[in-house]
Amino acid sequence: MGGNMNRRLKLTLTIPLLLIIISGLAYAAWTDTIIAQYTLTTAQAPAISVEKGFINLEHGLVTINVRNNDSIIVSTSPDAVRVFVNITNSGATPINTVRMDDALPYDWYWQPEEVEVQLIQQNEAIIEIGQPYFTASYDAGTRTLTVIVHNIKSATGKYLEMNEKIRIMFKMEYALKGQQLPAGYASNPPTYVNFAAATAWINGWSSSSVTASASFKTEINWVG
Amino acid sequence: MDKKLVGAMLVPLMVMLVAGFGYAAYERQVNDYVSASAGTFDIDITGSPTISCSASYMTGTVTHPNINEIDVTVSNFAPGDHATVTFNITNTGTLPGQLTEEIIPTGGLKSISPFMYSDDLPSSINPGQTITVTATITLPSGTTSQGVTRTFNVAIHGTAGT
Repeated sequence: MGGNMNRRLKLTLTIPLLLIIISGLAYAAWTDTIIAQYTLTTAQAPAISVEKGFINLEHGLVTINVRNNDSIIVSTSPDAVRVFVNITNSGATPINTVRMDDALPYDWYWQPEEVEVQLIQQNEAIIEIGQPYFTASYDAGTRTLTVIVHNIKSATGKYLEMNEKIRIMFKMEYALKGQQLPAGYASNPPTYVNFAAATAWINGWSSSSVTASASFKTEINWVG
Repeated sequence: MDKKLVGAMLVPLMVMLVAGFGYAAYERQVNDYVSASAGTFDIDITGSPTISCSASYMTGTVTHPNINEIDVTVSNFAPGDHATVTFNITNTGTLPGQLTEEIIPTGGLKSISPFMYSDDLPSSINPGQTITVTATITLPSGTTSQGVTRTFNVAIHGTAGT
């Protein structure tokens, strides 16, 4: 009697135990999961530095040639001042667009169509950027020349990488040629200051506007 | 004697019950070694996953540390950029299965913003079939978040059945 009870009890407990084990194993065999882990980082905004200067001035000096008998300015030496602006990518984020606004000194104006744009790589190799990859416009009222390189990648096949620079060069001429030398210029030849501001973009992100300035002196040369 | 026997069988029974429920709740656990007479269902990542980035200044890597995992790292996203990851999933079991997925932000965040994720995961997979999944991660235009890192998992769950 006791033996039958034991067997019945064993059976009663063993069957659900087996069912649980089997169903647990079956569940394990019937589900599976795979995982893709992602780590994503956005770039920083572009960062630039700007420098400017004059290519064809010795000792930072322009000579104004004035006719002796009527004080008419006949020419300058050099005839036109060649200006450069370097916009350097100083950050890790590549740059695809740059804009430069150059405020010319008073008494000077932009010599139209005289704009050159280059991409200078770290090894000093130069890639010329021609139109239509940049646009140049001049506001005579504010004497501001604006040059925009819209898509450096399209123009050169590459972005402006860290420590590479966009060099913009243009010429400006003396607006007072043919006019009488202004009062005071003879005794106190003016020093002219030239300002530039630049901004860079990658897609929708822009750098802060960075400015630079350079100046040159003048001397009066009286000619017969 | 009977009480001892009942006790001896009840204890492991309770243990198995708890273990069974615990196992069922732990759905992410992967088991590649167990088979049952009713058939098996097992999905693995096979082949070599690839990654491509929309801009040359971006860097992207994808590794495949084990058959159930890939690790993707992409840096230098700018607005409008995207990266595309392609990988294969093979059903090495004997049963067809349904596929679902969930995006699980990690690092204590509740979303993957500013990024967006999409893929073309099919809803089912047959025994022996290999499917190719293409996942795209995008940083939308207009995003202002600079220098931020986001981590998340995409868990692809497979369940036997049609």
